[in-house]
Amino acid sequence: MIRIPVFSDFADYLVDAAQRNALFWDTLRERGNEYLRHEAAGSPPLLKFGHELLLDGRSLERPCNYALLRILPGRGDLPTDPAMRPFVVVDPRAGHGPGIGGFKEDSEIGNALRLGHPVYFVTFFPEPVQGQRLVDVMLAEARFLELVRERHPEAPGGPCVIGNCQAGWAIMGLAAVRPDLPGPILIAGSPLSYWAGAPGLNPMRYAGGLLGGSWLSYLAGDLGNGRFDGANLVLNFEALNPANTWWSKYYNLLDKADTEPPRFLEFERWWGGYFLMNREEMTAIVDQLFVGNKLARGEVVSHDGSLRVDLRNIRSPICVLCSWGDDITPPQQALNWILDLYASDDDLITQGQTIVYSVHPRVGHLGIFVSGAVARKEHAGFVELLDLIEALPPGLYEMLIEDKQPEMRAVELVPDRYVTRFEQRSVVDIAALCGDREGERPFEVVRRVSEVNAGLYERLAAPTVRAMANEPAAEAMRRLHPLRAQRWALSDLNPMLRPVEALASAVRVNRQACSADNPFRAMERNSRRQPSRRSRPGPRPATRQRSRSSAPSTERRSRARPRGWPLTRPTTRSVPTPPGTSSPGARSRTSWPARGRGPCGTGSCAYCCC
Amino acid sequence: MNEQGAVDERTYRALLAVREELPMRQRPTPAEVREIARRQALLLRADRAAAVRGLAIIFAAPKDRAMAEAVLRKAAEMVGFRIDPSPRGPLARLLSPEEEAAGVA
Repeated sequence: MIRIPVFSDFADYLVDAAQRNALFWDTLRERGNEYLRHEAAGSPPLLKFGHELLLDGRSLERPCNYALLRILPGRGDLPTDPAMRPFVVVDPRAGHGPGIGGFKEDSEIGNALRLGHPVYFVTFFPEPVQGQRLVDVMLAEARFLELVRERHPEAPGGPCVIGNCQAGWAIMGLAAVRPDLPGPILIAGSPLSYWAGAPGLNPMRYAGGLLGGSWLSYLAGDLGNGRFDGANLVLNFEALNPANTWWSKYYNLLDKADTEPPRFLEFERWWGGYFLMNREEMTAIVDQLFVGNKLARGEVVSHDGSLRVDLRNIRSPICVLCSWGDDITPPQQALNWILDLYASDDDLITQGQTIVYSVHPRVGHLGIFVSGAVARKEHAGFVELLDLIEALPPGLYEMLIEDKQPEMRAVELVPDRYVTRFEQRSVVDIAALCGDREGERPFEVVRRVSEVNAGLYERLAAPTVRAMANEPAAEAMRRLHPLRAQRWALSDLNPMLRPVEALASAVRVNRQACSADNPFRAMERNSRRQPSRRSRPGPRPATRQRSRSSAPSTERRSRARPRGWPLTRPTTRSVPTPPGTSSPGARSRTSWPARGRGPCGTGSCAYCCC
Repeated sequence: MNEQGAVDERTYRALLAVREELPMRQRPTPAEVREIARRQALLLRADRAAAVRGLAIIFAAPKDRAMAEAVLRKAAEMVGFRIDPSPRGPLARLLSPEEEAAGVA
C-alpha cells in the first residue's frame, strides 16, 4: 500500500533519483571502458580460473582459431588427480567470446575441479584463420581430445565432454565422426532439431522464413570482406525480448544502482565481446543446420564430401540439459532429434545408446550455463554421477532431482543437497513431451525458398558486393555496429561522460537513498513493470511436482500427436503412437511452465529484471 | 534398476560402498562394473526368466554364493531394506539351484 505523500518525500525522491542516475551512467561508462580494455587485450577468455595454453589450433596442419587450455586448480580445489576422468568444456562460438562455461566458481568447470578431476577448456580467438571451415574446427577438437586422452592414460573411460549451446552440436558432430574419442557427452541448451518449437513461442526459428532464408548471412559475410560479425548474432538474441533488452535490464540497473553494477559489469564483459566467423562457416551453419535441419537426418556433409555426420554413430552416453524457459533452444529443439534418430525404444537399445535428459522448468538459455543454481543442481548431478550414467543399460532416461529430506530412506549415502534418480522413458514420452510437429512442415518450403534466394544472390548480387567489399569498409561497419557503438560511445572516449565519473564518486561518498516506503519511489517501481510474458492467459503450471519431473502425464501421452510427416530417414519414421492421438495442438501452450525473466531466467544475472 | 526401470543414486552409492569393502583383488573396476551392468541389463531384457535362472549357475560354488548373498544383503540394508536371510528367503531362492530351492520349499 502506498502512503499519502508529503513534500519531503518528493524532495527525498528527487535526490535519490538524481544520485541513482549518476551511478547508472557511470556504470554504463565503466561498461564501455571494460569493452575497450578487453578488446585492447586481445579479447582473452573470461574464465574465473587460472589456465595455461596446451595446444594452439593455429599451429595444426589444418589451422583454425581454436585452442586447448588446461585449467589450473585454485586454492580451494582438490589437487587434480591425473588418474581421474578428465573433463573437457567446449565453449560456444555463437557471436560472443569464450568464457561462459567457467564464468564463476559454481560452473561446469568449478564442479569438476572441486572433485579433483583434470579439467580442460576449448577456447577460441576473436578472428578466424583465413579459409577456416567447420570441418577444420572439428578436426582440431578431435586433436584436442586425443591429446587429453594421451595425458590421462589411466583415467577410466574417455574424457567427459561438455558442450554448451553451439558447442553441443559441434561435439555431437565430432562424436559421430570420431566415436572413439569422447567419453560421456553433456550438451546443455544445444539445438539439434532446428525446426522444432512451440507455435508462437519460439520466434527465432521463424527468422529464416521471414527473412527469405540464408541469403542475408551470405550478404553479411560478403560485406564483412569474407568474415561474419558475431555482433549480428548477439543482436538476434537481443531481439528475442526487446522489452528486456531495451528497458528491463537498464531499469534494473537504475533501480538497484547501489548493488547491481558489479553483476551487471561482470555479465556485460562477456555479453559485449563480439567474435568473428568466416563467411563459409556461417553460411554452412545456416544452410545445413538452421535452415536445412540436416544434422539429425544424417545429411550434413563436409564441403569436400570427405565427412558425413551421422549421429547414430555416437557410442558415448549422451546427457541433454534443456529448459522450458529457454526460447533460444527450447526443449523441442534439444530433444526431438531423438525421435528423428530412433524409430522405437528397441531401435535405441539395439544401437546400444544411452541418453539421459533433464528438463529444467524455467531457467533461460544463458542460465543453463551460468546460473549458479543450475550448476549446483543439474550440472553437479551429471558430473558426480557420470560413472552411474555410463553403467546405465542402453535406453532413454530422465534425470530427476529432489531435495534431500530427512525422512528419505538411506539419505546419509548422498553427500549433497539433492537425491538423483534416473527413470526409464520411451521415445513416445519424448513425442508427448515435445508435442505437435506439424508446425515443422512449412520449414521444408522455407528451405527450398532459401536455396532459391541464396542461388539468386550468389549469381546476381554476390559478384558486385564482393568486388566492392574491402577491409577498411568492413572494419568501419563492425565499429559502427549498434552493439559496439553503444559501448564505445558511452566510455571515456566520449568527453561528455568525463564529469560523470567525478559525480558518481561524490554520490558514493554522500549517498542519500530515499526510504523504501517513499510513495514516489513506489510509484516509479510500479510503473516500470513491463507487460510480462507470464501474464498471458492460462494456468501457471510450474508447480513443484512439475519442476521435479517433466515426464508427461498419462493424459498427455494419450494425446500425443502422430508423427506422420516425414522428417526422418525412412527407417526411423515408424514410432508407435498411442491410439486416438490425432487431435491438433495436443500440448496446450498454456500448460507450459513460465519462462525466465532475463536471458538466464534465474534472477541472478545482470539481465534479469527482478 | 527397479521393476519400473528407475535407477536411484542411493542404490548405486550403496553398491560402491560395499565394493570398497571387498578385498582389493575381488574389487571390480568402474569399467568392469559398467560392462557387467550393461550386459546383464540386456540379458534381462532379452529373456528375463532365463537370466534369473542363470544366477544359480553363476553362483554354483557355495563360496561364491555366500559372497553374493553377503554383498546383496549389505547393499540392501544400506538403502533401508532387510532381506530375509533364511534358506526360504528370496535371495537364497534366487541364487540356489532349482532342485535345491524346490527341496527347501
